[in-house]
Amino acid sequence: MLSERDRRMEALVPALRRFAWSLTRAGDAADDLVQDCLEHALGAWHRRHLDGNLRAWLFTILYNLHISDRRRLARRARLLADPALAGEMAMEGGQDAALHCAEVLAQLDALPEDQRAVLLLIGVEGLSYDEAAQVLCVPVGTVMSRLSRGRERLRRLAEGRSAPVTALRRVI
Amino acid sequence: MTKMPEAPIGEDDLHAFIDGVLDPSRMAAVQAFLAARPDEAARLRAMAAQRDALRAALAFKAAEPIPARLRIGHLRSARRQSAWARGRVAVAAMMLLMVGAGLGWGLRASFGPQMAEIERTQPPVPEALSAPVARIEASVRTADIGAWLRRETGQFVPVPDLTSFGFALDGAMVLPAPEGAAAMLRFVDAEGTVLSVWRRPSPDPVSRRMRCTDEPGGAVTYSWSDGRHLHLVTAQLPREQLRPIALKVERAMEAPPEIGVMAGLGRRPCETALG
Repeated sequence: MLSERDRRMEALVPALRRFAWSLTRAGDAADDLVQDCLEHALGAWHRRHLDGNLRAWLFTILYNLHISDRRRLARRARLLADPALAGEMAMEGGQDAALHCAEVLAQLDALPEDQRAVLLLIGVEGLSYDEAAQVLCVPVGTVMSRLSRGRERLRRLAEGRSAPVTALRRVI
Repeated sequence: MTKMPEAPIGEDDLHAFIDGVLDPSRMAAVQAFLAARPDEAARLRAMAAQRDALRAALAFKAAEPIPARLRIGHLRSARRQSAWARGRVAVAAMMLLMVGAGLGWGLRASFGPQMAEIERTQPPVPEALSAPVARIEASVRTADIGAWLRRETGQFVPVPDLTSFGFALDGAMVLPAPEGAAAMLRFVDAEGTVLSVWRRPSPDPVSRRMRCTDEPGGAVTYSWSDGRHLHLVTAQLPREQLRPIALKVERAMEAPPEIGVMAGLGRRPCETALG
């Protein structure tokens, strides 16, 4: 029998899977990430304040794991200079995206990682600005500016124009 | 009417407006701002539409049935199982420590006649120190050592014949331990040199070749494992003199157990320790 806290945690699994999939774009890797996240959470359960925000806490663990995963993968790819690995990841992502939508996901991919995470946490997962700041370990002001830049850039992409920052880069 | 008496409209107000979390006290100001700036209003509508499109594109993932491996119940029971496995390893390690401590304490008796002399002239070891080890001893003068060992350990313990080296069996000792009793055979030569042979169940089923250690105090120890028992031969003798004795003991210890006591030997000590 699950305890009340375990039930609350399990109720968040669909949202965690969605966030993980948005970040990784690969079904198995996303579920691995969620499993890692849940195992970390169960292992650290007793250290958590009971009145804390369970959802923000779980998203924080997941995002940190994702970041360290990405670093690990990047290190490995750099060390081995493994084009097969990179190709495999790109293909898997491409297939999933093709199956499940949509232009908007491709546009999302064009954003820098930090802006993408803010857009997902706030726009899709419905976290408050404070919660998103907690998850990303940055001040609320940073969350607001990333949200603003990310949304503006996405809007310009949708209009078929690139964001000014890209144009500027091209000039340089 | 473009200037408001309160704080100017910021990007944060506009995004809070999109996300529906705008402070009510700012609502009127933002609405007035958007009414006066149709281009800004259109930009905000586009952003909100993008946000909704993103939400819609990802909705399928949250609607999927979750894989069984992500059920909290499964993860919890997997954690319990690994914790249980860790606990069993800890228990086994503790048992080994206890046996090791017992052996170490017992070995003190084998550090030659000097030690025995000291013990005779000095007050006996305090009760607290000697109490934890329930030693059982027998002497050749009062018992048939072979039969006595089988009775005390429940196992056949070969008794090597070391008379060709000038050593005669003097007595034996049994140290009860959770994973099987350790047996010590005590030999003495004409000059009073004490040689002890230890045998106890091996903690792992891996055999180890004979090796030699110099103990503090001048004693030399040869040790090996046949995968079922650990053996030690210790005496205050030079290495080259003790080595042939150790080899003879090794051969003697390979003697096949007599019929009827096989059952006790068949079970490996690690299985006993891990239940």
